[in-house]
Amino acid sequence: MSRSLSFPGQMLALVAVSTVLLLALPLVLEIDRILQLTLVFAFSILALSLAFVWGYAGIFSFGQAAFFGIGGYAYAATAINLGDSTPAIVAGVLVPTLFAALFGYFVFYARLSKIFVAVITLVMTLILYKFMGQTAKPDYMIGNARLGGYNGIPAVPPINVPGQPHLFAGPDEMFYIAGFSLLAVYLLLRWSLRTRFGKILVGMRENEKRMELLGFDTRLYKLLAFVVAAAVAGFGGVVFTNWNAFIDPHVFQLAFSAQPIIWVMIGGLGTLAGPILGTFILSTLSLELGVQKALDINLLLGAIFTFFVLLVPQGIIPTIRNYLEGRRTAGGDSSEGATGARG
Amino acid sequence: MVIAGIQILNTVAGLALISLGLAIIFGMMRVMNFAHGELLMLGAYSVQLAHSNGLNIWISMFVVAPLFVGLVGIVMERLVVRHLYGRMMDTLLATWGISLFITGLITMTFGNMTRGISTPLGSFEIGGIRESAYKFLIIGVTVALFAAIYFILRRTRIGMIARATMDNPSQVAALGVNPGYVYTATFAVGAALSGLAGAVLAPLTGVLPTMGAAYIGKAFITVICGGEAILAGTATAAFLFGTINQVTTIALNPEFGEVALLIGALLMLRLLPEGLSSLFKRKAL
Amino acid sequence: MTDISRRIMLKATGGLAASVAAPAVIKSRAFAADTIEVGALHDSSGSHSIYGKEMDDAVKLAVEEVNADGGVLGKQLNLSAFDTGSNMQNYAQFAQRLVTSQEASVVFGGVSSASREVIRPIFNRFKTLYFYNTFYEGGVCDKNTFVMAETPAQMISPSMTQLIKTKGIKRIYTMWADYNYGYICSTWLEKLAQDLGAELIEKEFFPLDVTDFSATITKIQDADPDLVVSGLVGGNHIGFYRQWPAAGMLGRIPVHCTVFGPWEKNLLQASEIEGLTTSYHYYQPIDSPANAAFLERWAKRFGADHPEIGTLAVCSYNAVFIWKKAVEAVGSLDREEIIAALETGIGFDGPGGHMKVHKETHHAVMPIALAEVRDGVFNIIDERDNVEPADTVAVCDLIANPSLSTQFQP
Repeated sequence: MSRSLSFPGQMLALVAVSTVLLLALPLVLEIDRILQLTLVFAFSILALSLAFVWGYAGIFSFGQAAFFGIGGYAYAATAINLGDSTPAIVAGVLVPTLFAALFGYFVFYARLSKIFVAVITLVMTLILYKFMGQTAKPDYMIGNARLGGYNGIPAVPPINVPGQPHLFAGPDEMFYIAGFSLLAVYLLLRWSLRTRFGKILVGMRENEKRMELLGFDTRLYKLLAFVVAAAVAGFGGVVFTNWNAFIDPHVFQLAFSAQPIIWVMIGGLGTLAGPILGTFILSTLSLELGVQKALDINLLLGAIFTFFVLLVPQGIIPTIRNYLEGRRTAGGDSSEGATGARG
Repeated sequence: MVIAGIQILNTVAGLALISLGLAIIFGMMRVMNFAHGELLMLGAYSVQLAHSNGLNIWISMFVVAPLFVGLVGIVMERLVVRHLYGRMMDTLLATWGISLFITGLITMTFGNMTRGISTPLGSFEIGGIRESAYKFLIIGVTVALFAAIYFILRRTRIGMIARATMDNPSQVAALGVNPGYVYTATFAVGAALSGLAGAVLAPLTGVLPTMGAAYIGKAFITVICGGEAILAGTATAAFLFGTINQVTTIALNPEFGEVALLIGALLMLRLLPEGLSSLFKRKAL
Repeated sequence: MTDISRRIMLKATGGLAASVAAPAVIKSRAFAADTIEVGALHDSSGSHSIYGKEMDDAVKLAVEEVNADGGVLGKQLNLSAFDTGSNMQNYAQFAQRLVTSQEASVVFGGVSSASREVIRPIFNRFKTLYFYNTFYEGGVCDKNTFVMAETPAQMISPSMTQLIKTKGIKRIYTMWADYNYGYICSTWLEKLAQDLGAELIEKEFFPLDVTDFSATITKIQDADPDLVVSGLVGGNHIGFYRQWPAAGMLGRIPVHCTVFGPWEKNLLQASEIEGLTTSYHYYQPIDSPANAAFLERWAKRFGADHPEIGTLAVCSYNAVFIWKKAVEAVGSLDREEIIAALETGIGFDGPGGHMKVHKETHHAVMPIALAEVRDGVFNIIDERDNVEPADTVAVCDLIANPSLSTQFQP
């Protein structure tokens, strides 16, 4: 079906369908479902950032949730101080980007191996958790914004029309903003993967030595991919902070940093649509299981996750696609890159 | 001063103890066991449950806990880990799924609350300052375990076979030893050591389904920074980070102790990307 | 963007809390319905469950008793009690669900201060009356929120005054959990100690995940204070109460705990905590006919072998009845009228004595007990009636400033 369309055609169709869906949903769904979907959109942006850096650049980063959190904190601090969300959104993307550039420089220019990168990004997240947790002292202020330790920052001003803080988004508007943000991030990443940059990343993932022999500075490209993913994660953090006007250090916890990894893994590594699907399924599951508590959520998530790693290591989307392609036998290479990117 | 020294040694020993089982599993088998924290937790639960049901505390701690967690290790290896040898990132992901599963299972079974055992052995006094005698036990157990593992790996036939299997499984198979059993046994030993560590530390910290998360980061940093040499590397890393942690805690306050440890680890990996083992000669243990 | 901005509602930015414009989504409250929707949000699982479980049970018991007694305004209460699992995200989601699709008239709950600050703005925004029933650091000043639990002034002032005066204490070593509660309590205690002629020789703060207290136990011995005050909180900090006796320090220097109820006590051996003192509104051993009757009902509902309960259960229980009295006083579910009725100082004779609303602060005036652990039992050694939340009274006056919805911090 859509396979017969050209790439721009596919994307246009996607935009059209998504727009109709996004505009129609608030009319038919209960308000708490709308709020829930808004949260899932924010998480999906986080999942996309990991899908990009892990699935295409081959860098397993435990730190995406950390950039997500930094973005949220940067947004909160800026919005509280300036009262306007526009510079706060910029800060929410810029601060994690700069942080990732600095951190990534140390990591990638030291040519640390894959497994060390995984552990060191985990360490970074743990440090942030410790650090943000001990900012309860009243002297930890960024301007007027109190960091608040484990309690975090409550009552963060919501997104408003640029320059007009009194025109701010309500739940429906926030739903649209989050939904279109997710769409925009998806399109941006899809486009970037079609550029020379994206092709170099995939080439590097498949064979780093070869790319280096061809004259590419793989350190630089890894750093760039890491920084792009951090910017995306930071933006997700901005949307998340807006969802209920608060941010606290739990986003730096091991349990939270773990979530995007499960989403991406289950949805399908080496795709962008898969991680979004994974996020939708698993975060909805978490919420519904939280309501009825016959089964512990960790127990179920752990079982599902182990099952996937052992038996469906490619994730949902690639498995379905392989199945369909197997039936059509004709082949024709898939539009969304190969799988098998894990270290 | 003497007390401060004991406290530093105690922190170092604690760090080495929680890392030993992980070091064996990672160092020998190249498996990133992310369920390590949960193995510690299961050890802690074993001793707490056995002891509160009337069993002698030392038997609960030194027999029941390692045996039970060793069995869990066997099950883990047979069901999951063995399918993933050679795929380090997949071992990380799968064991991490197991870690969530065990946490959930224990939460459902025993509830999410802290249980405890009171600290045995009483206290002693040096220069007018009183300190728990249990600290010496932790230091003693750690030293004894490191010595025992060193001896087994270097001096016994079992240790030789284990090391040879990790280097070249087909050669060992040619000698009539099933490498599959060696893998299972090695994993079980690592798990049992983790269980023992969790059991020994339980009287100090309390027992909670999510307690593993507090250890996993520290243990991984110690093992990764230790590098190739399983025992010497882990011991050196534990000594370095334990000292940094406890000196910072005593000199400033506990807020900065663990942050200092983590930053120390980051800097160290930048300076010595191969870990502290690169300071030793090759093939050191 | 035009489509979005057109839909964005004009609204004055009175208070950051009003971050979502609500009126468009609030459905008309179903007055015709024959039940009244009541919400509860407590951590029955997760790290805060040692506190949250008995609060959840208490609200359930209170609602059942109200219903058995004919309900409120002739209608039965329909309780939606959510387990928030010690997770802030759950708080936000369930609070949103309660105020939107469940259309709750009132919500009881929130365990930690962090959780309260996550949900309090939601209840403001959606105009749903809210009761918070956990002892906390004080200072919440919000027209829509009622706090039926102790503040530092209530937990610390009577007990420390008593201890300092009777035991001639001059030098106090203090240790606190490193978060808001610890900082505010330590500031309050410092001021109080000065007034009473004593001195805080140390204020040490511990992150919530610290389990090893040996360095501090050594520091305490070096400092040799007359009293140690512990504001340690949560499962990890329990370690202190094991390591202190393990170091042989029990009974050598008295220890007073600002956060130590049955929740902590049940996790420790009686021999580890002999002689610790603590202070709250309620302890299970309080000897009164009202308490005996209450405990009988509790045992009947939750089993005779239920864990020992504490002030959190009783404060949550009282809050339901205080709300009921206010609703009955107005005869409708009109939120503003109920608030006005509560501000007349409505009170309730609960298991721990008479608790009543303090009108300027929306906090509670209540009896406070000082207890010492003997053989694993809280022994009441001193009691004061009508203790006011003096810390919050000093900063908050909702009668003069009804538009406030903030938390004052010293």
